[in-house]
Amino acid sequence: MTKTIAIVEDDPRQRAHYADALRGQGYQVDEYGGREEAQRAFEQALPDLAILDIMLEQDIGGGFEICRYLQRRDAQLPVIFLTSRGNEVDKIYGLQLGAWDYQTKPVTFDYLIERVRSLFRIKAQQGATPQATDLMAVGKLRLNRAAMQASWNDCAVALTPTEFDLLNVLLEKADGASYQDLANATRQGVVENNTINTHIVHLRKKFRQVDANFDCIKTKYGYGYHWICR
Amino acid sequence: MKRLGLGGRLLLFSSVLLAIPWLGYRYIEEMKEFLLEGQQEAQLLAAGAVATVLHDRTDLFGPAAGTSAAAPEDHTLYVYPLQTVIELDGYSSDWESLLARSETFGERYRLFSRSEAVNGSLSFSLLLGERAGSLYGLLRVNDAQLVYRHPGYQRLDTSDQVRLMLVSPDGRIGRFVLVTEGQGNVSVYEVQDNWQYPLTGQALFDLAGVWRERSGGYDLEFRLPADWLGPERRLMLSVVDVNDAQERAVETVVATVPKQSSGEFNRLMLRSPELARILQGLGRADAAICVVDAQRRVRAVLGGRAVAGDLCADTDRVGRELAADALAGQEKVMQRAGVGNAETLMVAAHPVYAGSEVIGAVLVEKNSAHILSLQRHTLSRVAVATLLVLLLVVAGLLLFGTWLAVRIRRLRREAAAAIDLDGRVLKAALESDRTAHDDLGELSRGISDLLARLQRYTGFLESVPRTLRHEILNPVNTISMSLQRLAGGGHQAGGEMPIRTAEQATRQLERIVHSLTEAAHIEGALREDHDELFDLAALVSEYVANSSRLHPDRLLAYAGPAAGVWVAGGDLRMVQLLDKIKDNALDFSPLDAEIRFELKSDAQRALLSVLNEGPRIPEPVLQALFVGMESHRLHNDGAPHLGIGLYIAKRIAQHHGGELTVANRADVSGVRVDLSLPLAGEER
Repeated sequence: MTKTIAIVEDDPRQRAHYADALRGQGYQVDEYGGREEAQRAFEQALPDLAILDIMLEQDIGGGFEICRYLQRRDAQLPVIFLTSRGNEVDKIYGLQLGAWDYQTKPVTFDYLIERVRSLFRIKAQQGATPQATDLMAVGKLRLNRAAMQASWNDCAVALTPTEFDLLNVLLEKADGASYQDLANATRQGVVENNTINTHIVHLRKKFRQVDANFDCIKTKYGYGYHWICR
Repeated sequence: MKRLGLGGRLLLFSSVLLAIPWLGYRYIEEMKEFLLEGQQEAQLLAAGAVATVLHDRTDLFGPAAGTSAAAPEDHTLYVYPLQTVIELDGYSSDWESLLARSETFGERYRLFSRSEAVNGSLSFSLLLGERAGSLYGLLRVNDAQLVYRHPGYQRLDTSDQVRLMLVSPDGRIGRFVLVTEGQGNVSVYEVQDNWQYPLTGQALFDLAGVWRERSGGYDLEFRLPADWLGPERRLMLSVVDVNDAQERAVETVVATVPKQSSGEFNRLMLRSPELARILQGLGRADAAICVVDAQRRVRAVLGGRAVAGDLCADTDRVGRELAADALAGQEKVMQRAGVGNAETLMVAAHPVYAGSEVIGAVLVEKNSAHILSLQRHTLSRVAVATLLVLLLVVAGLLLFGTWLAVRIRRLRREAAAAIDLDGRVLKAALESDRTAHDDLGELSRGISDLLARLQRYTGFLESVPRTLRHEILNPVNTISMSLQRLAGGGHQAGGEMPIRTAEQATRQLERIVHSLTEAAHIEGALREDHDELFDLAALVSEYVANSSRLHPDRLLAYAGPAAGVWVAGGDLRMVQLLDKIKDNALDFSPLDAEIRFELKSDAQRALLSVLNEGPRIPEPVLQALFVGMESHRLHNDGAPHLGIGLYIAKRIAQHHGGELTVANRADVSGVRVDLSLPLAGEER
């Protein structure tokens, strides 16, 4: 069955680019220029995934409003935010949503398509029996790479796809992941160290929610981060 | 509504000072009341003291022991003390103040009447006074028909005459007749018991009188030496009327004793010399003491030169009231105005007892002029002093307020003029009060500081488009050229090349945007950071080691402690700062030259220095280095050169309470960046 993707983006040229790229991947894409238009359409039928620009013309934060609306209709509906402003990232985290991710502009199509696939895969994997090759265990940490699910001490830790990728890189590099390694893992264009720092802060926070003594992600000043559990 | 200026408010507040003179006035008034009350007490005590001395001394008051209080019936004649010299002239002018007190003797006192028909035409009034050892009398006789003595008659009882009978000091009864042949001096003879013939025929001159006719009668003013009277002071006076000048028979005799008591004497009541002697010791110049008996007749008067009012005089209302109260057994003090407006006289009255009976009263009058003049003087002194102080204070406050207001206005004008309508800073330092050592000076310096920062910021803003134009045009140009080549069919260049260069240029544009947002968000990001303690030495040594790993072809060295330099703040921020400095140093340092990180610390601060070799920075650029958008990079390596790195580093340093400075090295050609941070103390 063809998956339906809704794109809400106020700039028609950018919107057309995303739509073309995704249609090229075999998805059905519905384009909307504003909140009201999108919500009217969602009243009729919900998409399988939504890509939301946060700032829609004068409607600052309009993307958040649409997201809240969709979450009310279907809490499991995957959402990808498109953001041009760094300070919007914290707000996205503040939403504490389930199946979602975000992409800072400028958007690379490869990454966007990869994220869409990941989110669909995560959704499909929910409840399915994981294959042995997807499973990984490091100390108290358990990973299901197919479903991008992680657990610490048998407690689920809800990670975004980006965070899951960063965690993977940290586990792969035994002597520490450099900022460059981590930036590559996010598969975005220019990733500043500060952005990595923010991701790590959120990673640590999520682990500490299930284990207050979690202290496995160490800072390597001037280099990057290091997964090491004592 | 226009609000009050500083000066106005100062004036308003200083008006509270006006209460001071009023308070002073109230105080002086209270003081005066207090003093007057004290004096009243004292005066009452004084009156009481005098009264106590006189207690039970009935001998000093009554005419005789046990004399009843019914004054007119006891045949007592009161002898008034005379204030003025009496001139024997037959006129009543010397007695003016006493006339009202003269006693009248009429029908009831008629001793003899020749016929019943002649009725009531004869009466007389009598006033007796004493002065300087003499007894004076004023006799006013109403007699329609005057018959003078005729020299042809030897018998004396043949004309209108006045008879005096007295008990002399040796107990003998003396009878004197005062007759005259007309107006003027009377002749005085001592006569036999029957009043008919003189004893010796000799006229007496010590007893003298002047006879003066008036309509309806005559007046006789006479003088008698007081020592003619015995200690009992007994005297009787009678007036004899003869109407028929031919017959010359005595028609009527009216005496000073009533008919049923004929043959008796009057008893004269003088002021008591003994009382006067007792009071003598109590006298004072500004006080008067007056002792009256139960009939309110003055028995002694003392002092009173400074007391203008005539306390003892019958005309004195206050004296009368007080005496009446005291005689009713009630002691009392009263104030009254003296002769001058400013004078206040104080009168105290105290009863004198004999047993439980009031036999007299003591009146003490005192002039409180000295208290009032004291008050007046104090008041004027206080008034002048407070007025002066008040004026000085108000003038001082006004001056101070005006001075402040002027300074503030000047500062405001200058501050307003320092920024134009569009918010551009025209002048970064204010002249007004720049060197003043008070709050306004601080304000001025604060504003100057503010303006300087604003100027740096507006400078930064103004330089943004200029720098951005240069930085953005390059990659845009690259992308544009790549697109042209792709559009041109690719015959000018090999396939992938234009796409790669366009991607690189896009990355460069992205980096520029990142740098700009980083600078724009650094303030807000720093505000949201949570401070914690971190070991700067460990951080820097690890940072340098890791940086060497990242840049294996460069020489990075750390000199300093491996751990133990604790600083409060954000460790990742510090890394961000180090990144900026390190990037700078890497850019300017030759490939084979060492970049040294040196960390030192004393008790309060840690000093981190990053030294690199390379070109020196010109002085003017050094000044503007931290403003942002000021880059002095000489070569283009593809990274954006917005000069924002040091600006961010400086902001981070400031957020940690530290200072970041850049200077040219003294030893070799190169640059040193010094970061000074406060230590977090002895924790951990």
